[in-house]
Amino acid sequence: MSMRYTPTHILRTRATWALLVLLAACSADRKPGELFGPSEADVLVIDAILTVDQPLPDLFLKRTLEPGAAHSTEAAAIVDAQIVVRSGNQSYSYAPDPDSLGRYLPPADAPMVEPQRLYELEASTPDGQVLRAQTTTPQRIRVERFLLLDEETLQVDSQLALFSELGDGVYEAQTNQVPYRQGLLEVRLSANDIDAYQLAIFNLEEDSPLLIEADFLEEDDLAEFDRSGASPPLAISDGNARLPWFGIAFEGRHKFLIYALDKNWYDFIRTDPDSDGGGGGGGLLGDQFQRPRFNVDGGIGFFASAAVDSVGFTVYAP
Amino acid sequence: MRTCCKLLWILLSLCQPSFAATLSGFVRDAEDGENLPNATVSFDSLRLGALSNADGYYAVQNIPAGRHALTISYIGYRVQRDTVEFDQGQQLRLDIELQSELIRIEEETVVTADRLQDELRQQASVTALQAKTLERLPAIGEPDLLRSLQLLPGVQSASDISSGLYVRGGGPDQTRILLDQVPLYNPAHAFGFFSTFNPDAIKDITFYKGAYPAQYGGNLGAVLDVQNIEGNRRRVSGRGGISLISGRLLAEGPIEHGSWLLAGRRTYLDPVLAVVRRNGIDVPDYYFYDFNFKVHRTLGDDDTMVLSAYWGRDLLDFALDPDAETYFNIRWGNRAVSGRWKRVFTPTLFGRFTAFYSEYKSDIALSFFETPIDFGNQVRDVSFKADIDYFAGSNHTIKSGLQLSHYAFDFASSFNRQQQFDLNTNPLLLSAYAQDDWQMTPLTDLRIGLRSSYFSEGARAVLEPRFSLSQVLQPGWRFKLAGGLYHQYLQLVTSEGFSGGDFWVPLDESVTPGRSWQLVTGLEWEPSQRYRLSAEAYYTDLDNLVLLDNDSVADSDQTRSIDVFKTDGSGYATGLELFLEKRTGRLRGWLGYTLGWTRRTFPEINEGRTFPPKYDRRHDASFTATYRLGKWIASTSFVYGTGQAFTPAAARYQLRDPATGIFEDRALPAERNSGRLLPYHRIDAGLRRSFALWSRDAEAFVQIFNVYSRRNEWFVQYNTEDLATEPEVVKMLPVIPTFGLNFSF
Repeated sequence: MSMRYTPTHILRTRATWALLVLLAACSADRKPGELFGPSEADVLVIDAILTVDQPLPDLFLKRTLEPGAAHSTEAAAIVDAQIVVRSGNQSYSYAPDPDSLGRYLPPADAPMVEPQRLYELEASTPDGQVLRAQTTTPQRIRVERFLLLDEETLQVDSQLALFSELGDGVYEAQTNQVPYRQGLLEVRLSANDIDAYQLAIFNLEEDSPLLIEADFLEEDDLAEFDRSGASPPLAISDGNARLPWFGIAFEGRHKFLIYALDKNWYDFIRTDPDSDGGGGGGGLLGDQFQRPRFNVDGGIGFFASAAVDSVGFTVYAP
Repeated sequence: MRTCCKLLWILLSLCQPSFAATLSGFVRDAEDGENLPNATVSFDSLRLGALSNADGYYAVQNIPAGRHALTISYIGYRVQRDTVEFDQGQQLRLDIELQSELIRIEEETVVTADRLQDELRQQASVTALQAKTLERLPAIGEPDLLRSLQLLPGVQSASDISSGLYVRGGGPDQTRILLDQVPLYNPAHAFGFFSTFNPDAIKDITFYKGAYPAQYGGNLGAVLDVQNIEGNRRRVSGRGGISLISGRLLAEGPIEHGSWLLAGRRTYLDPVLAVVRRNGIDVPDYYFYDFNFKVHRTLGDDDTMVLSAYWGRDLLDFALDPDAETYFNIRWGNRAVSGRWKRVFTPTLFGRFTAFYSEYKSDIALSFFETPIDFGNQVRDVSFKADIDYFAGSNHTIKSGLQLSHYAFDFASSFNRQQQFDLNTNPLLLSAYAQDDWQMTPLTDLRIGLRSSYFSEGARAVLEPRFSLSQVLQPGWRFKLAGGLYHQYLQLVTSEGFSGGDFWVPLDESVTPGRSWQLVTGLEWEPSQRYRLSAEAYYTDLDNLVLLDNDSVADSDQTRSIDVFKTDGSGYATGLELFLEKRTGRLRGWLGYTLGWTRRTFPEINEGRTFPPKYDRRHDASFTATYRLGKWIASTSFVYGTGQAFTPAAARYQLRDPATGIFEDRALPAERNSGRLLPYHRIDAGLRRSFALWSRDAEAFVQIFNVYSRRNEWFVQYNTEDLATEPEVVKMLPVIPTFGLNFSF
């Protein structure tokens, strides 16, 4: 079959190519600034955690920066705010820490944080911004047993010593020497009425060797393993909390903390889109990139509280 | 039950005028004997006619004695004209065979459906497609039903790799998907890249984008009703194809008084992936397969038995490090078996009785350094269904039906060998409907129906009125109006990015089921047989919507719906769709445009403020064209859409992780979905050439997905680990050329 090319054919062909070139030229690249929303810079950010049976803590007051701005402690820190924490009839004025920008210190005679008590915070800045928040501390919790289970039968293989029994001696106790990835570590808590818990694991060594060996991990991946980590919020409705082995990457002494959370802490970590410290898929996977629940008036951040207990053990390479 | 049927039969028979004749029978394809649904059988001079039902059966009543010219037409087939003589009161059975137009490839074919009847058939928001239309559209590897439907106005995809249907502002779970009347709970292979429908096995597709009739139920938005072919009743034949990704084969043939069909598909990427793995590169092992089986047998003139089955499975194994017990395995798939008895009780009373079992199962098993995490979901649906079509005179076709479904849901998860969630429920759903397709005047068609249902979880009973009106205003012009009330009891838990390993759970007494009111109105203009232009406006009011609650504790063992979902959502979707279609000639195709708005409001999301969901698109346009020249067919499609909504960052800030005390940089999200990605656009193209291969028809094809390789934006993520908040736009697929071969024997 022969084709005769008329001017119309040629015009159509050229128009098609021109359209393709035009579409290809419609770049899908753009400047980073185009991907930010309306700026919410200069909003107050409070960062304060009260722990039951520990003194009133240091806290931080900063401000938000432009979304694309490089991080700067100098730019974010607020150094001249008036900050007061009240509990019942008592009020405690905080003072700026001259050695750390944005950090505020409690008075020297600050009392211990009590369980099941309301604490209120008010921070005001010279330019008239006022931030308010409150927390009701949870009740105390107690670790009753610390166990190593058989991973197949889930029967108790051995019982590990608690801080209440040996203090820091738990790290040297024979019972608390745990071979890496053998058995399941389980903590049994006293029964109580707590909405949510969070678990945290700390490797207490500075340069103990990495225990993880996996073909699929590159050197860069191994270098990114942290010596500490935290779980998502957990209900632990049966009072038994198991420590996942993927939370442990290094040899040596480990401290395993169990936090009983107040509402603010729980609300924040369950709604925080990047509690892993970064990322946040803006718009992907069910729109997970959403604003956390701060429960703070006049700003963002958290003024939260928790009760805590912990266990200690030492991990060695089998 | 038998007595009741007899009584109904007698009562209905009494309604018939005894002096008029009746013509009834099946309309079939002359080449392979397939029944043809929605074919028009008419006596133009008498202004009498009927459409064949889903099984190709028709009945025309009230025919006066004498000789009358009969016309039988069906889109894509030659019009057949005949003269039939009737005696008074005669009941004549006439099975009709139509010749496909496609045998005249070299000619400029003309679609020859009777225009008036065709107009009446075109109820609001319904699209009837044939498999041949799909085959011509460009695709990746092989034609795909769901991806082709995404080219229609009002239908969107979530991404290049998603075949999920977002219809008129609704999510994928708001569309009911039926294969041979059996619901498929996850019609996706390869995380949504392909649908479970084997393109070779598809016969007929009816797609209601909204305001669907009373014969369907259970979903808030749309219905996709796919019928597979029943098998060639004339001779053993087959067809198949190979592409870069998969191979497929279909065989069919006659049995005594019937036919059989067997079709299968399988990807063959796994040997390639195995070679890659042997060279030290970590890639998963993945494949999917599916099978369709059907056997069809007539028992005398009036009875037909059909047994059909579908089996599909996706398997992904990613053994990152067997020694470290680190792996990631996903399996999901559907199984469906159905048995159907169809009976012509009288020339005007047609019954269809179906028993089916449909199962969807997904298992996700992953382990990270000896910490196993498992999710499992299984939905089993055992249903019995009876549908009766009564051709009550030349102006009424009454459809009624009853369905009893017993569901068994199992959804369990465990973390680190601790059971966290174990939901087992076995609800019952009883539904009944009655629907009258009433040709009020030769120019007016009204479909009015009522569906009732009772769901045992929460003992919920609802009545759902439905209607659809089609009015010919003047030759070539018609007005359409349709609406109805819809409820949804089953909820899909899925991500918007991928589809695989999704979960289905029922809503229990703690959550009110989702509800929608839909209203659709439209105007169609058909200046000639060649062109059709339609404009359709829709409004859907949604209430009692739910979304998975990702903000609960990770080890939740709550099993009530109210603990699993964010509830009390509401919203609306509204828009205008324009559709211009060229249906005949060497050059065919369509141009579609949608102007739409979709909004959602949840008390627990965005601080209770209304927001656009991700798939809210202001403008959505599509264009398809196929051009046949001799043995060559060239095809192209173009899509353009407003960029998807996303939540941008509004500020950066620093907080300590409360558990570890380590400072972390964070991005503060702005108003939910207040940002927009860049507009999406893409051109696909394909070229086919037919030739003879060992004296059999064959066809070679080349397809190019995303011809100009536009890297459309998929989603945005913010990396705050560096000094500055760095937005990263993750892009969708670049240009992908594929080629392959189709053959028949």
